[in-house]
Amino acid sequence: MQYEIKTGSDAIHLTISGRLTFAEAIHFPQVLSELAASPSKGPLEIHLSQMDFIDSTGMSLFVHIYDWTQSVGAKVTIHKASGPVYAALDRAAFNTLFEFK
Amino acid sequence: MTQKRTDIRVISHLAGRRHARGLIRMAESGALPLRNDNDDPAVLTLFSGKDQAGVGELLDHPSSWAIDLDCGDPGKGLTRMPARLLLRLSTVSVLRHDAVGLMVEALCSRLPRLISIRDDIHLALQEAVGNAVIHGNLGLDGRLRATREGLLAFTQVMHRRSDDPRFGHRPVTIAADWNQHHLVIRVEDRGRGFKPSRIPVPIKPTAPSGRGLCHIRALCRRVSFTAHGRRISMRFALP
Repeated sequence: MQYEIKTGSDAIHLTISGRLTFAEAIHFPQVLSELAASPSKGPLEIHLSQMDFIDSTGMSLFVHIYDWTQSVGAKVTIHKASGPVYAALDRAAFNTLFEFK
Repeated sequence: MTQKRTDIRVISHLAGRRHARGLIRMAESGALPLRNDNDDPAVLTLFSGKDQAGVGELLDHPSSWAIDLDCGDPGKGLTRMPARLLLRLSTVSVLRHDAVGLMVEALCSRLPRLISIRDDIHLALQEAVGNAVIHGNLGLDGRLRATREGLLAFTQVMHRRSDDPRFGHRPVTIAADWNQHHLVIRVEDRGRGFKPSRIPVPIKPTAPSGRGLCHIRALCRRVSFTAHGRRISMRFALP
């Protein structure tokens, strides 16, 4: 798993690539801390075009992101999830939590 | 019945290890139930999960069983696991290597008609192996992840236990067998076991845990648990 957080004037951009599975869970608190420390209070744009695979532990990161954005009133959009990643997120009914583009 | 020959491939610097000698003796005596459809010898590969190189080829034909000698008691229980493909890795090695991807690749190379259900098999197996590592061998409760503070505690305990040989050396075993109609994949851990609910419980999208088993039940033709919940068997209909 690799990730990058960029804060723009209009939004926070989180790009995740590689695999997001139980083996990467150790990095999740760091991702959440960096997001929470971001100076922008705009929407969160999550870019997944380079993500290869996600499992249910990986999905729990998105649940935490959802909880955090609900607490600060930010909207979340997931961009370019495809293949097995989109299928897994769809199976978990994440379209009820996030907008997909 | 004529016993099939087992060829053994041992990564050279491990040949002198105590567990390597024991497994070689078991294989040579025919005690390991490596199954094979043809007259080719079955090949058992013994390796160290600490090594980075060559792990991706562990189950390349003709190797059909691969056992990580860094597991605690790596031969235990293998005589009761008949399988055409078997991968046993220590918990630490599962966290380090993509064991599920390796197994799925090996399955698809032997059963090309799995391609159309490859993603289903991959996700179901990933969830089963994740449960075996997290809840089984590392003994972590997924409900701890419900809050951010809990998630931090969860990952700290996960890190500490994976570094502790009493947890980190526990093996995860993935064993696959098939016939003309079905593929059965079993995943076994050495944790405390659990009592699965008989009735699938619906999971809310915002649930912090419990999603893995729900996915497995949705993706497989049949799911069953044995060994007090330490072993899951997932059956897939072959396309």
